Amino acid sequence: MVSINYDNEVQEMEAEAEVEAEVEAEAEVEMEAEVEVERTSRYKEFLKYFFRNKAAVIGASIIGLLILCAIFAPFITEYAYDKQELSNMLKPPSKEHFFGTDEFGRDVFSRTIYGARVSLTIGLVAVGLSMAFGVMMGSLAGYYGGVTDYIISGITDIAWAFPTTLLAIAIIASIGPGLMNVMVAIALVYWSGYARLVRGSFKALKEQEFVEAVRALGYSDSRIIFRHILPNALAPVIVLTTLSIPRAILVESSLSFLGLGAQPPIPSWGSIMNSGRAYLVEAPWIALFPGIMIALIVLGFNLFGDALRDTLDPRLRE
Amino acid sequence: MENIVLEVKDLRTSFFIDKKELPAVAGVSFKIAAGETLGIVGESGSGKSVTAFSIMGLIDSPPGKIMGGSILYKGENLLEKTEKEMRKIRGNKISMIFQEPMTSLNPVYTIGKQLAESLILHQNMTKKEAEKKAIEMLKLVKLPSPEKRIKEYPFQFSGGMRQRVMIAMALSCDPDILIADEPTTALDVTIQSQIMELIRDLNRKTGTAILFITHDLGVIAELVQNVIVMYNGKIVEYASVKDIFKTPYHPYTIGLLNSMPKIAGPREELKFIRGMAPLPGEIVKGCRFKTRCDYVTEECRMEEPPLYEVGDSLVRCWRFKK
Repeated sequence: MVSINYDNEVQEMEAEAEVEAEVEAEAEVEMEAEVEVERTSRYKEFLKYFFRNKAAVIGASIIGLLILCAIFAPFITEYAYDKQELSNMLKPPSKEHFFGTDEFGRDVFSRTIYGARVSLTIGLVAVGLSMAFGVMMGSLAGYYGGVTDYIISGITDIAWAFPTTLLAIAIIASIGPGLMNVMVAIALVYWSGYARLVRGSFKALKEQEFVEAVRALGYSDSRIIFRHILPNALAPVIVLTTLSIPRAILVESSLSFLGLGAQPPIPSWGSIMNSGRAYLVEAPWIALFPGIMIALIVLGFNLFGDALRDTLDPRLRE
Repeated sequence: MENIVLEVKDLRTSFFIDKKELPAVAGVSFKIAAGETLGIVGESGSGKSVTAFSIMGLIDSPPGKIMGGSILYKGENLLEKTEKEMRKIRGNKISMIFQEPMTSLNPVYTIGKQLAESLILHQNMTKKEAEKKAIEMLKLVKLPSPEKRIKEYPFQFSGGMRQRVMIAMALSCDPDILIADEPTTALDVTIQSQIMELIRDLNRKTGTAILFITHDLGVIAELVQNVIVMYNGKIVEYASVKDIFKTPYHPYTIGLLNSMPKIAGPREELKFIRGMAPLPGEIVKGCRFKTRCDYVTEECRMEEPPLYEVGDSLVRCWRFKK
């Protein structure tokens, strides 16, 4: 049931991002003139504005801390994530095991820390894939228009219409469970958001005179698309990315919770929670700590993304 | 013998809106010799910009389509070139500057980078050579302290300066022809005259032929040698700039000249040409100007006049039938 609740939320967030994206696309030009352009001179000012926002500082700290945990996992915990100690099963949190142990006597703290690796990898890789594909599709649709736009937009709308987790489950069901497949599934679900966002930006930017001017300079379409229009369309893409990563992590957790993602003994927060579900009464710590981590990382990325959006949009400053 | 760099023969470009054909350019022919300055004058919708875009091969298709004619650049028909071949000509042999300098530069790159990009692409220069040439070009268009300014972004430039940068960019590959599509319309008057002076100067210095498009006869007077007056997709008068101002023949040209405000002489109400400019394709029979002409006759209503030679001018009007 948890997954269905996520689902609605995720859809709502997407809808919100879409509306924002459209508004942003309109204000694109001024925005770029204000922000992207003035890279050298405004870089410091950007950081100043950004970190003046307390939410940004908290979000960045959470993300930073979790990234450090993921990278230095072996140094943080003395137990391997898959080391079973059957004499020590279902022990509550103690000095030796901060988060207690699970039904095989494995250290929940180790598993949770190592789980950060899974979640962050999934988040970054899946969103990276979906961004690459979505931006490409959106660019082509927005730049060429006509039949190209019609076909790509049609596919995008179909992909967009499915409930996120449901589509991911359907894809996993057809290609089989496993973390790689989860990344592919998430990418296949999320690319449409990028495609729509970038298509809108391109449609607005294409009418700009500088595009006509570079065409008159004899530049090829690919040079115009990727070197001249795309850099002008990046600000909202960056914001969407910071908001997509936590959603991807949520989808991964949901899938792993359902047993479709990480396969044992690989620790994913979702799969740890799933195994803890059976012991919710005797050993609530198994499900509790990874759950807190999921909430924490989503909170971190959302705070970060919101702050980033506020800073990149000059109208929301002050 | 004059060295003709560009010859446009019976160019016809149409736009298709709701499956209806709108002939924006309905058969236009002219020649530009090396180093020549030719002006195209006409009101909005007369087809002057469409002519320019047709030469550049930048007509968006659909909805636009070049229906016929030929555009000979040094004897080669540009309409038969592939897109790839056209890309080597655009910005390199024939370049273009636009009406709106404020938005004609990419906001995310420095001026230097944008100038260098076309040099690296068209002239196979290294980054260093291109940068050197970029500074040279900015000096040529009289931009102060170019060494410093190439590291700046477009937002740090004023409109006039941006138009100078655009001109530098257009001329950097030493093109044979520069098409200027109302380059001064968006600028204020003092900057306008500076840019005009710059263009005239560069024409003398580099020998680049200039096709200057404008709706402002006053602008044309200072700069060009020959003038084409376009109306509703066709040339109605083609003459030297001196003849246009001294002895205009076509009623439309006369009307245009009369509607210019005069600085000297008594103040009087501005004259205007009565009626509205017809849409492309609206007039199917007879002279294009018949709906607004004071000299209209039965002949004008029935059939479109050809271009008649009157002195050194060409005029599309039955009144000059021999």
